[in-house]
Amino acid sequence: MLPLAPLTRTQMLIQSASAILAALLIGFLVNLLVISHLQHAVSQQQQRNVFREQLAAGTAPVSEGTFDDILLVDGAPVALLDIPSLGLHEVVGEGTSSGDLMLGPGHRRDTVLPGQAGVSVIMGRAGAYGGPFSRLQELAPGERFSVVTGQGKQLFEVIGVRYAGDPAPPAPKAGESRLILETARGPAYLPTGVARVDAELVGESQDAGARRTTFDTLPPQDKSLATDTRTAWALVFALQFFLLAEAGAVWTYRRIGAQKMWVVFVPILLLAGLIVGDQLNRFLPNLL
Amino acid sequence: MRTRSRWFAVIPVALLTLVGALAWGVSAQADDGDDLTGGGGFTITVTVTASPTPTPTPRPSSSGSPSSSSSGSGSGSTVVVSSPTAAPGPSPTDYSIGGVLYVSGLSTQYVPALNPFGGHVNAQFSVRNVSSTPVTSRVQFSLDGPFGQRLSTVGNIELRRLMPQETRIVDAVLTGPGQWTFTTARFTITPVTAVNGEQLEPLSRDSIVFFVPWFVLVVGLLGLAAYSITRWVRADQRAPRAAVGEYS
Repeated sequence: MLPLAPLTRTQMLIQSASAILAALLIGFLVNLLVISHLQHAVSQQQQRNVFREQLAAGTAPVSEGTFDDILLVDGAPVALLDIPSLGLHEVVGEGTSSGDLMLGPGHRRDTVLPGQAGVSVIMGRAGAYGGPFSRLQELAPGERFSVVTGQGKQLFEVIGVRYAGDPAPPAPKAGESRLILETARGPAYLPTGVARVDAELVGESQDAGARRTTFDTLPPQDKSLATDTRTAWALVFALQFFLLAEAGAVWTYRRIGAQKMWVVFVPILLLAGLIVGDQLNRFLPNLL
Repeated sequence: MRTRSRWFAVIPVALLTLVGALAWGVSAQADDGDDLTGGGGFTITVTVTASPTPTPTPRPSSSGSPSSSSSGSGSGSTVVVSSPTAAPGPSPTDYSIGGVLYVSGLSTQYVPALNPFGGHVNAQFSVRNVSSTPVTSRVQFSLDGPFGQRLSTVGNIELRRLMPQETRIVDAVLTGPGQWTFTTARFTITPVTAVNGEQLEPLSRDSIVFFVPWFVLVVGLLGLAAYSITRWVRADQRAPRAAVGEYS
């Protein structure tokens, strides 16, 4: 085989840029397919600690605000969802944007809390970040599950599963409470639509807490299968950080040596890749 | 050079995956309503109405709860319609939610077989009658391959007299997944045309069934092993000649 001609400067530049792009894309996929599940597990542990403390102190939220009337921040724990037949035991956070659902299932801000009179909506991912609602469609009519909120343990009975476009069950009457669990349907990581499970409260409903958010004022990124591009600026900074780290690694490799470069820059590059991947994942549909 | 070509090979694959995921998600969002009462353009529906609270119906005897079995017309596939574990019937905590029939999603389980063209998929769903009269329906199961081709069908199964407040589990065995890896199981339930004056329409649910194509993997691994062994043996045969050449 004939020896190859040395690369020109342009070819070397293209090679380096391609290598960086490939590293970013592979990092993105690894982040989505592997690391996201670990992040979800860590977030759930933290959420559970906070919520248990609030339940013990009697300060768990029962409206869109905290007990001292401050609007709940995105991701603040509001309920504990327990579906034994699916092995699901998750803390539900406030908000349903892509970033919020990285922590676990999210409660849609414009709806009442589970167990309160009216309709409550909880969304969850079907694939990434633990895929807590991946088996949601296995729920059979008549099955029961519970949701613990600041107003106690609420028992729900499944009405049925429906897809977007199917007629919904009749609206709950005054004083009744309905819970809708939403997730993506279709292959994992490739959503093709929305699947909803309707459930009805068994027993007395609770008083509904005050809500500032209505369906009209609900941010578009909190709706089903919505993407979140609000933090695109953060992706720009994350990419800059990644490029700087890579340039620093190359400079160190040439001036100081490979061993010290590896020791110093591998953690930095991993961190940079994680931040970039996290920002990219927010651009994906929230129920993915 | 090999490293370079490897990078160039990886980039398009990763890029295509990313673009595909984004495009799929966005298209899924585009055709999906967000309202809580349905919306969207689906035509397969079960008509439900906010009917007045039906009067409680007598609890069917648990021992005599309706249960039926029948075989479908598919290629060697079977269907079992069984009663739920709990006796159906209204209890003090039951309530009226209106409507007629409610179904679960489709649960599936792939069962491999030594025959590479064999294997089967167990599919199961639940259906509940919340009306005040017995409802008879027909159910059809199907299994499609990744290109939409029909792999097996179990059709025309009669779900006889689903009693008020009864939940029944319908279980089917779908043959023919072979090595197709990505298959789609689906059922369509077609109730009688009207119950208590309410018009009913067919309703479908589907589920993606993914499994590892063991035969393809085994053939691939055997091929890789054969290639590696051949390379190793030929390299071993060449080595002494090269050594002789160096010292001659």
